[in-house]
Amino acid sequence: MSSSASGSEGLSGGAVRYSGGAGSVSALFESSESGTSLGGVSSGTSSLILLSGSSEAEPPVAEAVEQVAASDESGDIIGIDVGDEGDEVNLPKMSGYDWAPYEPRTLATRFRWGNDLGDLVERTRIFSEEVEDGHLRVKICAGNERVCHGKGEAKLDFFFVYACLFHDLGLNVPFADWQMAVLRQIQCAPTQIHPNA
Amino acid sequence: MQAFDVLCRAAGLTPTMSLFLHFYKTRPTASKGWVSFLGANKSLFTLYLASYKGFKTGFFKVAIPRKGRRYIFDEQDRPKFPLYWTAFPPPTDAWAEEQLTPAERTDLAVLKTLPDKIHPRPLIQCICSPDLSRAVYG
Repeated sequence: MSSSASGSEGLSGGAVRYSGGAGSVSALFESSESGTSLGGVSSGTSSLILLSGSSEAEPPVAEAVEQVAASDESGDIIGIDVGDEGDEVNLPKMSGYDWAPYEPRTLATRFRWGNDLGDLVERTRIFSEEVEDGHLRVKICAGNERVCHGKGEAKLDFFFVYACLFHDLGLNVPFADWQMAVLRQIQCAPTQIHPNA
Repeated sequence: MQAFDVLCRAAGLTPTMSLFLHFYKTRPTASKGWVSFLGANKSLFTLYLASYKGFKTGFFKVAIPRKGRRYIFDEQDRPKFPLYWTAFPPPTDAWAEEQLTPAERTDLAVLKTLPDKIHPRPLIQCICSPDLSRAVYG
């Protein structure tokens, strides 16, 4: 049902799906406490998905999240930051990554729109229960970003993750302390190790 | 790593960095795209899947706002793990038994009794089970 064309051909589709530009809250599925407000929509355990376009300007997003949190304290709220979604192909190639192996240096992500992650965010737990709403955020990559890239010009620190870590391997963020210690010991980022290994 | 976490928890053991690295070494090379854990001392697990490819184009970011730093950074404000790819990660050898703490060696003795080449996939699928140890052993 939700299998609208995704991946590299998603530009026009995305423009249709999302009415608003940067800064708008484009999709908000809210679980109702009474379970009667939205006909046919399952309530109770459903989670809230919040797509927000403001990439690193935190305040508006934080406010929105807090408002929703106040109205329904039991639901999961995951904001997907779509500030960089679906941008055009003529972004400059980032330089300085000649050291990186070929595939991670060249492969773009297929998740280019907030909706591409909606299913994942809805069906699997990305952040563990200890993470307070909005304290870590899922963010869509820009078209020229590669998994081996560094912080660059970004204001906030971040790290890349593979979707398979969540839907296949059942990991949550933050990872277990001992797993973070292994990564530090072998000096690899989370996406730098093969998920099969 | 995740299979090791589940296995230890199910067996009532405490997974630690050095206990895990007793079983695995790394030999990163620039030609291989991703770093693999290579078995050492004992072959605990088989591969998760014989071929595992779709992951490469399935990435996104986790951004760390200031109020969330405590989850990812330690008390000295150092990241608990490398947030970004390391240009040339060094090879790491498996930890010797002598480098483990007494508690880790106790847990190691239990792990040594387990059969080789456990299949990680069914093991990981137990994560959601309310009674973890019965799901793994039962």
